[in-house]
Amino acid sequence: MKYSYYPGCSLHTTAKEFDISTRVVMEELGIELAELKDWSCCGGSVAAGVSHDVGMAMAARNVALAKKEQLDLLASCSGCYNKSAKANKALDDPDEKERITAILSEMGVSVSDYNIRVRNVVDVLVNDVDIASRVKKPLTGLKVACYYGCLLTRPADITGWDSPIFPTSMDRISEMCGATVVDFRAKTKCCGGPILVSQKDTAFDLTKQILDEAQSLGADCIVLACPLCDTNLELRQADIEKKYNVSYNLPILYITEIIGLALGLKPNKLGMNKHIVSPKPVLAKLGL
Amino acid sequence: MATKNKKFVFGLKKDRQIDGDKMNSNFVKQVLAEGGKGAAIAACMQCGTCSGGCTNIDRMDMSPRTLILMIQRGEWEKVLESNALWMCSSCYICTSRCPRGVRPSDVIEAVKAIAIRQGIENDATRFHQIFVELVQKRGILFEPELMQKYGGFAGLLEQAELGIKLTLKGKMSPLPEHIKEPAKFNQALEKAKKS
Repeated sequence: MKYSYYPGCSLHTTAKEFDISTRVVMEELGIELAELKDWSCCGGSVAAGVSHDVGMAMAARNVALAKKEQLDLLASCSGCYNKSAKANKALDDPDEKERITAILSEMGVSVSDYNIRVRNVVDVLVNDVDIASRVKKPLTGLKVACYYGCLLTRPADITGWDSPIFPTSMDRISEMCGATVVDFRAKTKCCGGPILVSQKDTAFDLTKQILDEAQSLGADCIVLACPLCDTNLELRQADIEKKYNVSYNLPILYITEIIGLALGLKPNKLGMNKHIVSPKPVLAKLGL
Repeated sequence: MATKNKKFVFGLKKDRQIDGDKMNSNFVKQVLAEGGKGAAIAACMQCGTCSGGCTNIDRMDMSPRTLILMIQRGEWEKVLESNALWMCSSCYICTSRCPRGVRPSDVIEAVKAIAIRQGIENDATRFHQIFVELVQKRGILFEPELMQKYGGFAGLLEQAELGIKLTLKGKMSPLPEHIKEPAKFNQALEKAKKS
């Protein structure tokens, strides 16, 4: 299996550990990744709020580049994945396709008729590979809260590989890795990522609810697959602690890091030394 | 209608009434043209499922259900001035749950674009515009620049501690990345934005 890999802006900067662990784990599982050449920002949840056509064209550019490579597009970031999948679907609509193609051709990007699928890393890991048989070091005793957020599974006509209301893919992967999964009601609540900058207080409130529940359930860490959720839950955790006068020290890990540990890979090889909230308590519990 | 509201068995609250005489399809058409093509605004039956699941409803001055009704009625001002547009975190809970396929998230996204084009200004519109401008400039977002442009020097200072931590972890490059032909990319999108 070979994919055109689209890391997106965050995985080259604030979510470097997600990029590193995705590459290492995929290689270990025999999935080849070729980074999409000359990829650009997908526009996130913001661009289409300025102009529908601008948002669509930004996302469709990467889809068009992957079509040229004749490879399915694999995105790690939930935002990149969701917007790329949306653009790929829009290219099936003759009217939308015409508008998008016109903008892309001015950028010098042509849209081939070769059909590709846009996949998410979690989708591939849960549906295409047999992780259970590859586990070397089960994460026995580790209590994890799997957090899905919004764009990974919603809306279902764009994603479709897990429930938009009660997703279980990351819970199943964590269990395969030997971890104990807590019944996390906040798993599909929104962290407020897209409004973090302009409505900071609201985003902090929303993120606090998620951290609160994970803490009250006694989770050792939150496991997720979105760099924007991580920005709120991990990078702004200290700000939230300060604002509400609470203490979490809750490690936030990417699903690929959990899998890597279970496959017997060294934490540093997975980029786990790059976290802002130290994952040491998790590693200590696992005797690493 | 000047006649008194007649109630039969039960009455519908006024703000839930879909009155054929009050419908104004101009607004609906504009929203659909902006991009809510999949959005079936006319199919809304005012059940309120969207509002029931909405992440930020308690911070909105108008619920997603009311917003759709106001679009149906063509109450432009109320819609464009509502903070609901900017409190929406595009989480797609409403869209996942809507029994009629209305896709309120996509409707709100389209109305946002119309509001920005009509000159509505607040922190969120400013953020939207700066974000798009910076992505257009290089093809890849450079976050420190976004923070500086949005929040000025104070904005940078507020995030300085986190910025230093990220830099020490090798997670923040001092130099922005860019695509091969940013100028062409920018030009094409600038043209699309204006058309």
